[in-house]
Amino acid sequence: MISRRALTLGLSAIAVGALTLSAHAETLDAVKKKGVLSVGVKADSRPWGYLDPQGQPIGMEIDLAKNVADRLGVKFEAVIVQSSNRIQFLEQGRVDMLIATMYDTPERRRVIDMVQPHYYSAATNILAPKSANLKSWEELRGKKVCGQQGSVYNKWIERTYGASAMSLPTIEEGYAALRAGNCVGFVYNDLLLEMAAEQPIWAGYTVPLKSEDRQYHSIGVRKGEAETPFGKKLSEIVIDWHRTGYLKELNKKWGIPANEYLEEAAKKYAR
Amino acid sequence: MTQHTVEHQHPLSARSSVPRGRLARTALTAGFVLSVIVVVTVPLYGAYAATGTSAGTLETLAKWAPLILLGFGLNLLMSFIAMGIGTVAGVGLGIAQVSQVSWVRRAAWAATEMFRNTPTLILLFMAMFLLPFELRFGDLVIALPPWLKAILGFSLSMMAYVSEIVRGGLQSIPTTQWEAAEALAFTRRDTLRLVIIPQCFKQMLPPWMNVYAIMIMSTPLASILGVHEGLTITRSAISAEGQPELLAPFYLFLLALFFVYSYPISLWTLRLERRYAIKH
Repeated sequence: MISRRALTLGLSAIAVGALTLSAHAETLDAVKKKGVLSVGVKADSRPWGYLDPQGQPIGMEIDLAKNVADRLGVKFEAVIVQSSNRIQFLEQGRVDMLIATMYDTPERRRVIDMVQPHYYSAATNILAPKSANLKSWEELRGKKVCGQQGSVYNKWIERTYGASAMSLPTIEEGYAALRAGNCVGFVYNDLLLEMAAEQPIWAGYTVPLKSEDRQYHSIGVRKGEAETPFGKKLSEIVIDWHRTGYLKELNKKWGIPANEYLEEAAKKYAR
Repeated sequence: MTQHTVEHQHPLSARSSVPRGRLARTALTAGFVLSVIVVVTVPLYGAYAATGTSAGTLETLAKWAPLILLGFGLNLLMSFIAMGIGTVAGVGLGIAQVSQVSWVRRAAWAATEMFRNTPTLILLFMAMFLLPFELRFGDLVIALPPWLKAILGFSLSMMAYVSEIVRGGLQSIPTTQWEAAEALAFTRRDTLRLVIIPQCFKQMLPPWMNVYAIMIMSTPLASILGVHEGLTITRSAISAEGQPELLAPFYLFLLALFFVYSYPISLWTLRLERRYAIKH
């Protein structure tokens, strides 16, 4: 079966070929002129981006996006995106930028620009029953693990350790499959799994291994925009977030375990 | 309906002493009551089965129900608009399929077959990725949000199905009707408008409703494209709560919404089918 990603890539290639996009004015000017910053955020990644019962997106990344709008002196518009469509939303101009739990990868850099420095980081780990007594990643070879559809963690564990990943549409369905004993563990980012493992319902479970495959999150802007006034402004903002400890503060506010990258970056950018 | 007075009773219904109309009404009411019972009890049972205690889960469900209903509202809206567009376009295409001009007939046939034999999901992907997010005509900007693009995808499917229903309906009318109209010097257009379509309308109604019921069921496909309809919102709600126990009750709630909406339609279709069944 063709993966959704391949299909998405193929169709978007056709789309890019078929479309003649009107030339965009410099985004910073355009944003200030319309008085609104549209940011693509996630609604399925608690605690970074999720919905409240009124249907409004909330979470750490939504706070960050609001902060950017405040600093630019414009209103903030959250546009909910999914991993499968966020790049199209950005390319087609529906959003001005993405803060959508997106890793900075070489594949993505071919189609969009990643604002430097990175504002966040996470690595891969696995949530498994204590009884499985996992000691090393190698033990997962040939075993079945659960993961969320389209996430990078599944591909990584298949490629690196030869586990076979079973993809489920949502994280909770992955959790349910794990609890039903359909797989030896659930692979995802280490921060979320560590948060989960502390909850009472996961009493018999643990995050047993040392995190691997550290990845870094970037604000996404359209191709070529990292070097424009808009991209440069965003870069300044991210540096300021690190310098002032704003990111560490938000990390704590949303109950996320301490993130070593944020500590390092805070030191690096301290004056 | 005049047909009632001349029809032959089906052997099974002949045995019944209850008049037809009342029987159908009773069935409809019973079906609806059943639906309401289902919408209330299924999530309850799901909650009970999943956790053993239903109180907490029910509260959580109650908290999210308005948002999920709103999402379901978008499913309905998409289905209404797609149905409208699909029907208008489909009727045109269906009539073109029986045109006397051969290239019109062939083109209509090709369009019908193409969209009828393409999975709705593929049509949705095409609508999503081949259309820009807004159309510009000078200063006029028309936004094309994902749900609007999804409607377009559904409409194309709907159009092809309606086209086949119309073609079938038109061809089901005995040729003697055409001949009689011709003898009375009706033009082809008037024959269609005054003689043929009024006669096949009744036969086309039940399959048309069937197709609609199928389409409303396929609207959650739009969730794959990021449309914030019922399924997407249900998933977001589960994700916001972060508890795997909520999967069953939340999905069952959504299922119940679809059921309560679709079941009366299917009962009504059945009733119309019985009433309009061809009597010889």
